[in-house]
Amino acid sequence: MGSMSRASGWLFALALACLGAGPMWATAARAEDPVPDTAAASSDAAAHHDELDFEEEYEEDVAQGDPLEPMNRQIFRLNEGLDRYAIEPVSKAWDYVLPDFVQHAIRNAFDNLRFPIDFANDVFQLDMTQAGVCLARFLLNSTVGIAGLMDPASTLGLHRKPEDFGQTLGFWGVPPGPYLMLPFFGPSNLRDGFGLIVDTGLRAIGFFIPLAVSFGLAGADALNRRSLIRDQLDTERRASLDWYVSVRNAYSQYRANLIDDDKDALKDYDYFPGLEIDADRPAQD
Amino acid sequence: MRILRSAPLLLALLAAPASGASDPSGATALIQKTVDEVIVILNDSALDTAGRRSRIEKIAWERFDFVTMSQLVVARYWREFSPEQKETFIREFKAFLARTYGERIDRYSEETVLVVGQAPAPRGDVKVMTEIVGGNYGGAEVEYRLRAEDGIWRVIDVKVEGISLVLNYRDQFRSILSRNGPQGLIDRLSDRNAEFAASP
Repeated sequence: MGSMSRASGWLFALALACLGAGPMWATAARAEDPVPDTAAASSDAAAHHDELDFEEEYEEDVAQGDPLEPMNRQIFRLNEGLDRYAIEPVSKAWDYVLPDFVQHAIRNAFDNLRFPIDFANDVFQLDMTQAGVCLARFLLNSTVGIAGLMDPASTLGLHRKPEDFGQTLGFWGVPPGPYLMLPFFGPSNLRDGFGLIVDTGLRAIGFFIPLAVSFGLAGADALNRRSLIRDQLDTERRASLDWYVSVRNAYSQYRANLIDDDKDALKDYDYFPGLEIDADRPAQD
Repeated sequence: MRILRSAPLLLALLAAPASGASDPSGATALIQKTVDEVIVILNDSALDTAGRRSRIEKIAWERFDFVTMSQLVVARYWREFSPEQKETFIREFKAFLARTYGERIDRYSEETVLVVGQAPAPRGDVKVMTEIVGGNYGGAEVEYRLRAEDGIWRVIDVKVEGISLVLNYRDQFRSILSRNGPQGLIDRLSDRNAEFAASP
């Protein structure tokens, strides 16, 4: 189960999307014509089957596909343009001015502010242990950790498990629905996009601050995270032949994996004897 | 979570070539061995970047099964490849991965890697779970999938935070293959490799 607060590679990038502080992705591979990839099976389905065998692949994919691909590609292109000409240059400056440890501290503080969202969704998923960890982290990091800038809780083995309402819905069996590329927020799907709205509400309950301030903070958070993943994002972009598809696939696999972790977490405990979740999935470990 | 660096595993590793049957603990031992070797190279201040890279590449060539990886990535289109195309594809795909991910070597920042466990996977494969500790990537989970051939374990897929490299490339290549066929994909890969070579 992932202590995701310091994920690498894709992850940094994808975590942004979950935070609703989206990375501006766009395609380096735009040279190629964005012909709708009708054959594309949803990577969610692929990830679930854990199916690597190339012969057995025939049985894979009851294609969920990407029915909105033409629109998604347009928005992706827009995000990429925004990233290349605005976000990336600013994050470069940010990176230049602020040493890594400061950027990590800023990220920690924003992670800490996500407490109401993490906590509520732990409860929604009946993971009382993680809800307790989450609460203890918030209390400890907000005080000893100086407004969350430091993360003494992790040192004590209380690791953060990022949660959001999209995961909660997935946990209760809601399928991802069609893939969606959101302007500014980045990759998502119908389920997770809806989750984002709910999470925004959860956050507002905890923090009565003016909307403008909240936008400003979200922007700073996004910029800071973008600067932390600058190199990785660049590598992944270069490592792709079709950046749009690469991001779509990574997002779907990543989300499916998080939801599987959530289901596994419940399996470890027995709060509600007799409650069966996750009938069709073999044990991970 | 614990470091699997115990004496029994070391013994298993030494004895590995002798045992014909593919003992799953050999997979974990191989990953541990590879991780140890790579970290020694990364920390070797006597080496320059190019030296590090060529040594790590050499280890990767041995420990990764690029033939199986290519088959898994191409999946159902594999039978549309002629024998020559198969050979070319494997070569170009390998070069492509080496180019793009090899660039990361410079960004190493004193991470270490813990081998945290293993689990069986379909087809007799073994999944070995690791976690990066410290540095810029601390906390990231990396899972290797290994398959044994003639008693030798080799890596056939890598998952970073649940994202499989094989499945990601499969998705990317699928539409190119359906539109442009095997040669179209091979050409795209060789073009990219040539671009890399032109601008180091």
